[in-house]
Amino acid sequence: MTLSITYKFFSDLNTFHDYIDQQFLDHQITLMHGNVAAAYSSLVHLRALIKQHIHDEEEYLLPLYINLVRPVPKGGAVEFYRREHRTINRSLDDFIIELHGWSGQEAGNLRLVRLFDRYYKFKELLDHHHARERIFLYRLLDRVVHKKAIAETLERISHNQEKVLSHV
Amino acid sequence: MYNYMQKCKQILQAFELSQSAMLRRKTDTACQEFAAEIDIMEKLFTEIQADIDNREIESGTKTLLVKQLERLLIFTKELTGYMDILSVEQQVTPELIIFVFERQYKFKNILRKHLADFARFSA
Repeated sequence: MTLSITYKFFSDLNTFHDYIDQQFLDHQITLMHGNVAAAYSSLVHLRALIKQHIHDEEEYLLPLYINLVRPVPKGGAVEFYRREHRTINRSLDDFIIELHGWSGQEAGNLRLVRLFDRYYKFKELLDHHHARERIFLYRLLDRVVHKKAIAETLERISHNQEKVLSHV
Repeated sequence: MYNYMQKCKQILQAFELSQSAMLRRKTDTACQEFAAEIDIMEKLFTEIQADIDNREIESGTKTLLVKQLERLLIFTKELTGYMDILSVEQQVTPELIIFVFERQYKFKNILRKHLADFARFSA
């Protein structure tokens, strides 16, 4: 799956979420094949992409949301986005630390089972967070932000994503 | 009761070895190990369900434990179905293995929660 960075509306960022899900699955498959080095670098790359995305949301989208969305729905409180972002970032850091020390023999013991257990919890968190953004953040911003401001913001986000992608 | 819990914990450990084989794509081994564990598990759940039913336990607690066991028994059937699919080599893909693994994770969680409740109520 390749990422098509042509966002017209904030809701188009859902395609980025789909891309992340697919990349994470690919990372798991690489790990199952025992290719720890490749799996490690795919995770490092994925973390960079997700961190950039989180940064962009906090820097550009949340201020618009705070200023323009009235009333804020119960499930769309700003603190929820921020809290989930922190947990996502922390989890990714933990996974990188865990994988860093792996030699490739771990597939034969229970460490891989434990890691995939943690991955499942992480994927559930991502799924929940993406649903919150799809239903509240993106949809509501598409309704209240002026078209010109949407285009400018998405251009900045695309530019940042391209920068991270070019480092692969 | 202690015996029931010990057996369940041993089965969980063996179950994870089967998961480990599955992640290494040794699905034949995983299916055999899984079948051996799930068979004991189903018998244990059925036995303990009857035992709880006949015991003098507060009705809310009894309902909770019986419902958990019903759910676990249904889940064992679902997992057996997946392992049947995995036993046909041509049908095995990494995506399918991950999907099955994640259903097994849910099963382990429900079983762990059941064991914690069981321990609490039989203390």
